Amino acid sequence: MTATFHPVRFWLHWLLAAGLLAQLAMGLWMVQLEYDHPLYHRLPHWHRSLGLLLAPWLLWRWALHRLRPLPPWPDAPWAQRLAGAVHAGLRGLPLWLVLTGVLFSGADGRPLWVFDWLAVPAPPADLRRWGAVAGDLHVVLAWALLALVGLHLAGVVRHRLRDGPSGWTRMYRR
Amino acid sequence: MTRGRWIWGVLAAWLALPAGAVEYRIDTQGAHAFIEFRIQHLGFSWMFGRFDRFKGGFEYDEQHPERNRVEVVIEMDSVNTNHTERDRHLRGPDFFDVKRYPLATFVGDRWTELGDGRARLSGRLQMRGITRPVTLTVTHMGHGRDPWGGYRRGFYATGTLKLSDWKMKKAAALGSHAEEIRLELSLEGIRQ
Repeated sequence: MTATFHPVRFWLHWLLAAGLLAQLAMGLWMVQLEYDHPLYHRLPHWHRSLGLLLAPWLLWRWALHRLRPLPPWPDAPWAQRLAGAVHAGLRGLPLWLVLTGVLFSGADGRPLWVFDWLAVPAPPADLRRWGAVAGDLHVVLAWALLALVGLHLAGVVRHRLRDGPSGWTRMYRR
Repeated sequence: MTRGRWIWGVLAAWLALPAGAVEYRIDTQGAHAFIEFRIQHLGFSWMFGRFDRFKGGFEYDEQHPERNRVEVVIEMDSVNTNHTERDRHLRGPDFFDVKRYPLATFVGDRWTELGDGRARLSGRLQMRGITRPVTLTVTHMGHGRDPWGGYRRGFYATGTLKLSDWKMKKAAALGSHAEEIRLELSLEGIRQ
């Protein structure tokens, strides 16, 4: 069992953890802002921008897992199965969140902006009719991701209690 | 269930027709009917939108125009302002709340001829479960045979609503310039 993760895995994990938590926070907050709030337009703009920026890193992490899967942490079979499912969700759901977000925000055929320096073309016309459905799905997926983060943290606590400090140092300390 | 409701409403309206009135079905199938609206964006400009799906019919009595009657049922989730994110917000509980109130119904049954092809049509608009009186100014555009064997009659109508009458949660936040919303309808009927 490796004592620590490879730096690429380590930094990808924490970059995406920070990015996705920021997205969840912004997404849940921005839809509650009052119409005259200074961030009413800015926060969704940042949310769309960061979502697009996270996409290549999410793909990298997903590809890394496909090409170089890690052996499961020694634990009861049910815990290994659950951890496998949670990890698969944590890798996959954010990609679906980007996809539904792009379909929703790009459904009118106008380009999507990454801050003010990169215009990403809108989805092809044939896909734009799914915009409204994608918008609803996006919210459901976001809550599902939040639930998975909760399970993930429960797993961290379990390993800390069960295996002592070595149960979390491989992703916690460099 | 909710989809079936308007059918019975329209059917009931037609069954209640007085003799002498001629029935028309609004040509939504051929999209020769439009329900457009506009509301001010902070007083800077007009924002336009429309409802893409609705059904309805009217009765027109040349001898007794006071018997004229219009019924239109709008599927509120068909709101279209050329902005999918905004449309989703409009469909949600802050505004139309389409999950609870999928349909809006307008029944216009008080027709007053103003001469020169113009009329005033008063009725009731039910939206979000709240019914309020609405008056439209109607222009009779034309009627006659179409090239395909049918008989058509069409109207153009405008009216003004106050958003606060329908108690939409976030309507007040849109500011004083957006208290009123203007309706613009073009309805072409095919004689049945």
